[in-house]
Amino acid sequence: MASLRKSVDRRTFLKLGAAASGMAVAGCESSEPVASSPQTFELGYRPLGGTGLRVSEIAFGSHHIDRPDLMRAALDAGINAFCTSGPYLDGREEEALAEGMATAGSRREDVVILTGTVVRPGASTTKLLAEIDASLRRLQTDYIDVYYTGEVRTVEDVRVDALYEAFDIARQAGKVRHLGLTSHAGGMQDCLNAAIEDEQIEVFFIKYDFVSYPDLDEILSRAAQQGIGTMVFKTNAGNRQREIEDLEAGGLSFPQATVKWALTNPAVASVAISMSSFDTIRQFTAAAGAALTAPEVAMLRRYAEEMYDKYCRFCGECEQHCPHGVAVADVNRFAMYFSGYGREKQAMRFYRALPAKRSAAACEACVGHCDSGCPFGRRVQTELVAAHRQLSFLEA
Amino acid sequence: MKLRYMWCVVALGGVLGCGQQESSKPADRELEALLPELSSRAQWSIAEGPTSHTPDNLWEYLDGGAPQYLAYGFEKMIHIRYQLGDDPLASIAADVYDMGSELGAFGIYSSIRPPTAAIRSWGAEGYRSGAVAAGWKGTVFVHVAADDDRPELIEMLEGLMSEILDRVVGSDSPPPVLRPLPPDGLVPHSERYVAADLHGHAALGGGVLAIYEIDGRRSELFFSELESETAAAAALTTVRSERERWTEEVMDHAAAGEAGFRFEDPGAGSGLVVRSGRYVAGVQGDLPLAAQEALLASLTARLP
Ligand code: SF4
Ligand code: SF4
Repeated sequence: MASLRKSVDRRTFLKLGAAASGMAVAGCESSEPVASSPQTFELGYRPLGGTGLRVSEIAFGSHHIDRPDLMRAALDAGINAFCTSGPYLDGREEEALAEGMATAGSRREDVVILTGTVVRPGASTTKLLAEIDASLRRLQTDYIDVYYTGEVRTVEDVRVDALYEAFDIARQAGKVRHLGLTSHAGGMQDCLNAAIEDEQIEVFFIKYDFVSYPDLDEILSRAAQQGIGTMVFKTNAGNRQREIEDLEAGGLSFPQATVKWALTNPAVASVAISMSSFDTIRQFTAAAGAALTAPEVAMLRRYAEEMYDKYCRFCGECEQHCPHGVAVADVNRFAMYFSGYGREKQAMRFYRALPAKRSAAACEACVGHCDSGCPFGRRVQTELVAAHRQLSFLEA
Repeated sequence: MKLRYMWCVVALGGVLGCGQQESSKPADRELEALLPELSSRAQWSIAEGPTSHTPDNLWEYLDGGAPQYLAYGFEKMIHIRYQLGDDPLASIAADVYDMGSELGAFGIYSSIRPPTAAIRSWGAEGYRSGAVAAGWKGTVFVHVAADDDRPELIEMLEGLMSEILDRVVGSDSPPPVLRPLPPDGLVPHSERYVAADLHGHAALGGGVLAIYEIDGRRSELFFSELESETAAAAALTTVRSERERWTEEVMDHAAAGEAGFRFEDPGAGSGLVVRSGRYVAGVQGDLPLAAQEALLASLTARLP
């Protein structure tokens, strides 16, 4: 019974994930192979929410890349969106983009520049304004299309007064046009929901893939209704394809298929790829211009199945099976803050703030009803026992 | 000897390994032992950590940067944040990485070192640029960042760099992979080891590059070792076809080495690329053609 239930749920999850993202198998996929010739692709452009910007479906992710020739090649291939950052490589990413645009002869209005910095609670408005000016100098431009607050991990990171104050001052001076946030970590959904509620952020630049965060499609759809544009990265769900034998047999490309999958969601305007080589530019612009094929869908399904029980999605499904009312998703998330991000004190504070009966104190003596309630087959009880010990350390 | 490009194994499990406690492995303790005691530093305390990361969960710590570290052979790291008094905006974050090899430690260090940074004698080499400092020694790479450049923070930052790298046991000589670089005209501290996509060409894999300045004009010299002469010839063909597609002019050129070609790039200047045995080598920049030819010939003569 258990294995039947598990397999049914797996199929349900995959199908739901597909449907929610617009990956209607009959409508989107094609049995034609992905075009590999540089002549056959046609890179599309999509509106970035209500910003008035139109971005190429593939964006140039310039993390750790300071080669102007690659940026010029990307412009030549039709890529118009460039995601860079002030602090990385001491500003060399931004300088390289300026040089790439200059040598390509690009008109400024034809390029969409995203850049930003990490802003944490307590940040100073003056310092942020200085960072915006430094980015403008390095980019050799008068304005930044989207200035983002980077690596947002908690709701507190979204609600930083200095960020909004600095952004308003810079916007009034014509230096920045739209405010964005980047996020890729476990508390991401809370951050996005807070940003939707606050109505200040105009662009999301986030991790998005075909196996994580089942509620993300719904969040992005709500964001789109509010005019928030979404660009995504890390579509490859962990990039563990090498661990699955023959996954890419028959000339399939797992990374390309994941990009095509992300683009089946109409709320996604663009997928940022780290463009460290000319070949990457060729491959991914080609992928974006081609339809997702049936073999690619099968490959993604297989990957999702094989990686199925390797991580918690914080979906809370298992909570219905707990007779004690344990807040499993929250406990798991706090445990991740603790061990994944090194935010021990904050994680413990969050845990202490849970109503006592929602904590995982009861798990050690329990038979683990929740194990059968996780549609992803995770060993929930074992993890909760460890999480409780970890998070209640101060009280022990 | 060179590191091969590794597909970035960025883990779902590590991310999300709910409830999983980072065990304090012996190796973590070794990295922790590099951290100085705070007893001599009045008013400083540990605000966060030390926490450890492995290849499975590095990407949760480094937003987008994990693939680069993995490509250089990253094995583990510890992160700690020190705070001055009770001001949360007067802190210093120190990240200590075990890159698995001296080449990996030098490689990641040299890939982020700004060209104009002030070089410091921390470990094998270090630099400080504003409120950020980095350095390497042995297999260890250290990156330290202060919230801003207040003197008291910079004093702590410099002290940390010096103390951490002094405690590392390992070589502080440049990696042997740099030896073929000709000494004449080499801009000090411009040598880099790149783990993948040398000069934007996936076909080259990793390799070395360095800046040369002659009579006030500069060019970048680079080379990559392939598995065999056949592989080098195939890589050269791919590099040429990519240059034909993405740069303006490509033409045959009988320079030093075999089956060479020359190209013109409107931004980065003209360049030459050749094969020499199982190496592909090239030069690109503002130097006149004759100087580029001489530089390339000097390099290929020194290749093993
Ligand atoms: S182990 Fe028991 S008490 Fe804990 S969440 Fe699962 S069912 Fe609830
Ligand atoms: S453990 Fe619970 S919250 Fe996590 S994926 Fe399974 S059902 Fe969802």
